[in-house]
Amino acid sequence: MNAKKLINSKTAAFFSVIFSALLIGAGVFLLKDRRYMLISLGIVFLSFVPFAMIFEGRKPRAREITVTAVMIAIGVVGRAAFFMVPQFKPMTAVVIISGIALGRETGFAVGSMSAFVSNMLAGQGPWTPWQMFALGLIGFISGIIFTDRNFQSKKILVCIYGFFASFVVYGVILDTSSVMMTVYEMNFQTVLSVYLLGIPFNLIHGVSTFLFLMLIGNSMIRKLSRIKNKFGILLCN
Amino acid sequence: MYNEFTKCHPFVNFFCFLFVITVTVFFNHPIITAVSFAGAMIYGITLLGSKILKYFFLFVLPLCLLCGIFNPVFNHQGMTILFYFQDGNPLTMESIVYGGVSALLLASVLLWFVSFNQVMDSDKIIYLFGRVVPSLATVITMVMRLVPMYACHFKEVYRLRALEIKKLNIYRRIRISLASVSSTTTWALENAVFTADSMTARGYGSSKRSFYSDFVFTNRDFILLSVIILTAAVFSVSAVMGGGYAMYFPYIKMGDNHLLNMSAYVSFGLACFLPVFFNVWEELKWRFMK
Repeated sequence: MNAKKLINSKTAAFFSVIFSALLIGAGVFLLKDRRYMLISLGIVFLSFVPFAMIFEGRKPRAREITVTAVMIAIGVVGRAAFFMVPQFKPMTAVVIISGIALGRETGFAVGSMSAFVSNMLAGQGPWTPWQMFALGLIGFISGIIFTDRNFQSKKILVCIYGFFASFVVYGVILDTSSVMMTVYEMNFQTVLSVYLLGIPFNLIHGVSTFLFLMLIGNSMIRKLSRIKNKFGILLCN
Repeated sequence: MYNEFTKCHPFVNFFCFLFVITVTVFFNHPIITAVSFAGAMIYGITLLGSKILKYFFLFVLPLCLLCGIFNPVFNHQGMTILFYFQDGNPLTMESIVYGGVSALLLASVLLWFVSFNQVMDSDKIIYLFGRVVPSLATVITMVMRLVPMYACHFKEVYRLRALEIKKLNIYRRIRISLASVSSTTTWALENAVFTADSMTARGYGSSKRSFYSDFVFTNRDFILLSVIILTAAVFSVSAVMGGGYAMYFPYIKMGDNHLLNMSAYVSFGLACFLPVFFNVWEELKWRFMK
């Protein structure tokens, strides 16, 4: 069971890399202007397709679906609760916790779907696909790196990971999207200056993720493990 | 004004927005961008009234100004040099024009998404994607219901806990909030398992999932969808043949085939103003039939 899922996940990653490479090739040779935009949007969508196919293809049981929905809802409520403070949101922390406790595929689903659903409330925009991709990636990576066994001892590592995930991964992906939306040439100067403009926002986001992981990480992981033990939920990854 | 377009079939709404927003993002011909901006602004006003102006001046305009300044300062390509900055880099006319066009482009995309958010509610999105990704659509449906439920439950728990304490200072408030969050989470997770068992008991997963929807594809939806597909086809053909083409660097060059350009503008403009035209048409029909 486990080995089969591993192959699935790896095959998905393999196919997205292959298709992305083809897309980059086609974009570089066929298109002149606005090619970065088209290529990167294409990559974002291509990376969703395999994961959506995994999620649909394994025919998730009702318990998997409801637990995933609960984690997404907690993230969305968290984002809505802190709507007054820009960038200071617990959503990324919740995504990381779900990735750790429920595995990488569920982490990806929770990340991308919480970005999508919270934008249904806050307003969709050209940023939606990138937010979905960035948060999904963060959930996926956290599921690869960490497990929920003796979380207490690794807590500080997870917090540091949370800071860098929101500061670097999320920040770079979102800022790159705004560079592509606005400027003609992606050269070192323009990219650097957009990143510099984004640093305060990304810093707040990183610090908030760090703090929320410190604050609720342990108890959330404990609650999720308890639920898994109590009701025998096995999210296969 | 009536917003009949909102009541159309989700396919009509979605494909209209898909065509308009895709073209707006990927074509930087000044006339196409201007048409798109006008369409977005007018439709936004009919949907939201003066609220859209507030959004435009407070949020969209500063971003666009930033984009308009950003381009000439950092992009030094182009043949027509106006003057040199202190560090020796030139300021070119082409980069100023490009900055203006891309600022307008950014504004149009942001404004189109305002209308998108108004028209495409969660029902329509779930209807559209429910068939393609049924499990994810189920998850989204559940989340839309869970979010208000958790907010409500949290408030209930918080109020009850706050009753015990005579004086509420900020420190105690935070402590009670955290305790309430914790108990709400536990409750939510246990509830999820019960919900899941109930779903299984009622036959979830035993056969293909069906969806409830009260959207009916009527004749007018058929007409609107055909108009959208027709304009998209005309636009695609003329764009492939070189209509609506614009190049800014090293010098400004636009597609010079008049017929192709006109067919691109007209077909795209028709799609941009389709929601507004349709609303006006329905309004007139209503007036005359009364």
